[in-house]
Amino acid sequence: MTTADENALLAASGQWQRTSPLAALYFLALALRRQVLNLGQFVGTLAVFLFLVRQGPVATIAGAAGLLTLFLVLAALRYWFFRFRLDAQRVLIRQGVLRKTELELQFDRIQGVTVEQPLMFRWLGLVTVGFDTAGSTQQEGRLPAVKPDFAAALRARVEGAKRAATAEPAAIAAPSEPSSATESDPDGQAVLRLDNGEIVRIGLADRSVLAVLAVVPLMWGTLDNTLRAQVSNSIEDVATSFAQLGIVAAGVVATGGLLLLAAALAAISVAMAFFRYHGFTLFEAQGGESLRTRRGLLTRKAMAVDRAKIQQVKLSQTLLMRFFSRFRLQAPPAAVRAVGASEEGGVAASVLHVPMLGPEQVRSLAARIFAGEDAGLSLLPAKDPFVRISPVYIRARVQAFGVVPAVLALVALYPFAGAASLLCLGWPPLVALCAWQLWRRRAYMHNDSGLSYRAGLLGYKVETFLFRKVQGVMVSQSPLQRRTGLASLDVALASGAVTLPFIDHATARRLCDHIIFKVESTDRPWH
Amino acid sequence: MFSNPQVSVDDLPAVEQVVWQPLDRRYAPRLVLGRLIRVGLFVAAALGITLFANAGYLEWLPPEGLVAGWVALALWSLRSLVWPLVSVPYRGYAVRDKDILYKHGVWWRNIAVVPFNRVQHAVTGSAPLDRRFGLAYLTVFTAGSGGGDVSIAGLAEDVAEQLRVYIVHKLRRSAEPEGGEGN
Repeated sequence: MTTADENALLAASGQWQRTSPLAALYFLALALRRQVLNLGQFVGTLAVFLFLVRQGPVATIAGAAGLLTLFLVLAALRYWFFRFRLDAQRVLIRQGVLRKTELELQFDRIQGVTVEQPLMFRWLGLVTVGFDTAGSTQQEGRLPAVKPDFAAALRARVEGAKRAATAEPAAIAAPSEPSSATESDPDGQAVLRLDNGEIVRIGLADRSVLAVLAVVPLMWGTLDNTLRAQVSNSIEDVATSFAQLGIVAAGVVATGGLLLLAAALAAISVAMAFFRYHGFTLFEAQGGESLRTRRGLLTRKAMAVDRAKIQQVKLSQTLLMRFFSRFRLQAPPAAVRAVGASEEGGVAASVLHVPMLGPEQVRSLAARIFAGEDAGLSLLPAKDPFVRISPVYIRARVQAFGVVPAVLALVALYPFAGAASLLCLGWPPLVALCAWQLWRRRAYMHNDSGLSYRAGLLGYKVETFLFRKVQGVMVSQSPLQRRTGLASLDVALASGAVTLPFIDHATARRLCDHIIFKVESTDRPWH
Repeated sequence: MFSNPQVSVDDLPAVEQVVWQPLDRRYAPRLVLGRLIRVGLFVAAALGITLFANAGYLEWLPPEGLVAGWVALALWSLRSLVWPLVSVPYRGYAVRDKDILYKHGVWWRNIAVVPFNRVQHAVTGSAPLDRRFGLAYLTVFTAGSGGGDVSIAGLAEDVAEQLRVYIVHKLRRSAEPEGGEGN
């Protein structure tokens, strides 16, 4: 950063200031975009516009001009009430016409600064600065229509503050020794490779190809009548031929046909898996502080995630994967979100994803990710120390999703269907069976440092996290839980939430206190 | 000299032992007034529909439907107007040295805890009706999409601002390096 840039920034520091008046263009574009993206507003505006069109051209022009004027006035007001202030450690943004807000962003908490230059600003020599935090806020954290020099100086100041803030904890956060292995690959030392057999298993266990079957009925509706009649005739011909074959032969042919269809779907799925995961390799670099993957047959994709930024580990196993004794692992970092750009879908989280690995590889990878802090915790679902949640869970699910809907359906259908409506009473037992299976899967285990929660229906899902990564905790009780001395524990992580439903209230309170104690007493960074 | 004394779980500060601060006493009347405005708008709309129906413009609407609609509106209005008086006493907050707690819920009761060293930023704000009553809300944002944020409405304006400043002060202290001013 040049001295001139620094001077430009310093001159602006410490006092409330406005951005360029051309920021009104930014607010106008934002308002128009919201108008289009918000379905309710869009339909309302469209209805008013169509009404005006029906009234004649004068009303249409007058209405459109009025609407545009309204947007322009609102954009001008938003610009007028938008102010910001910088100091050595933070940026404050005040805005709002009726609903006034003041946003304060500490520089050392900002994950990154983005500088955008839409087409209209390119002509005007202006940029919009956005602040990426790991927060979930919908608040505006953008400075629209500022000079590029100012943006560069601001970015330098934020990076300087971040470096100063992380310089001290770095000594604490680097416990592992650099790997002694030779890092022949530029991505680091390979710790896991998927061979062709594993990729075939990925293809077979992937259920996304079943979505193709769901598309067939939709496509049927789009066929034109002639083509539909031809297909119907062909099906009828096949059915007639079946009838001539006899029951046994028809059964054999039908089974063969279904197997052929299944084989074709499996072949498609395996082929897709090869395209996506061919050559999948997991690397460890920078002494274990960075985990990287590389994969792909035609399009090669590579990603890297810092081990310290991983917030939790999610392990899943579908029914077919249970047959293969394999798991899928995901390790999401904090969901980095561009403040103020959330409505544009600015989520930039990169998840470490290993699509197929065995139990030993799970243990090995978990040890690498948690660096020994997970001692005693298990990611593998069938391990003994898991404690099931209360069976009252079944009762709650049967009441909410079985008994209540069945009674309502019975009352609603009885006047029309008579005794036939009693079939609704068959619904609660089905729900009970499902709830029982869900309860069997739901269990948790914890040690001093972390917790594993197991769930699932036919397969398994296990989520494991360290307490020191937790963002917030909530203990909640429904009326039924209060009567039965139970509670739910909601643990908020930067990568999502984990809910332990229907556990003992005293346990929930104790876990809440313990988690908060671990969060508040740790001096290690959470990301 | 390095020491690492063991901490008994029973000795940890318990969330349920805190002294809860109630929300500002003006918050329930503010909510009732807000609901009253909303109810007024719905009643006006219902009156309009009734007038149209009586004038024969809404033949598809049977008189029984109209009566049922008014009964539903009356029940909803009653619930809307009374509920703030019931629910506000169940809300409360507590600020400790290292975290902020918020409880809410009449049927479903929740206690949320956010440690200050996980706060990303804090925001205060007020709607026009809030400002008439001298109230404001405080929202504490944590990282990510895990639902760790806490929003406390119904604070006096000065209290909300004091809390925001206190939290920001805590943020700064937790951001300072060891041996710095914060120690």
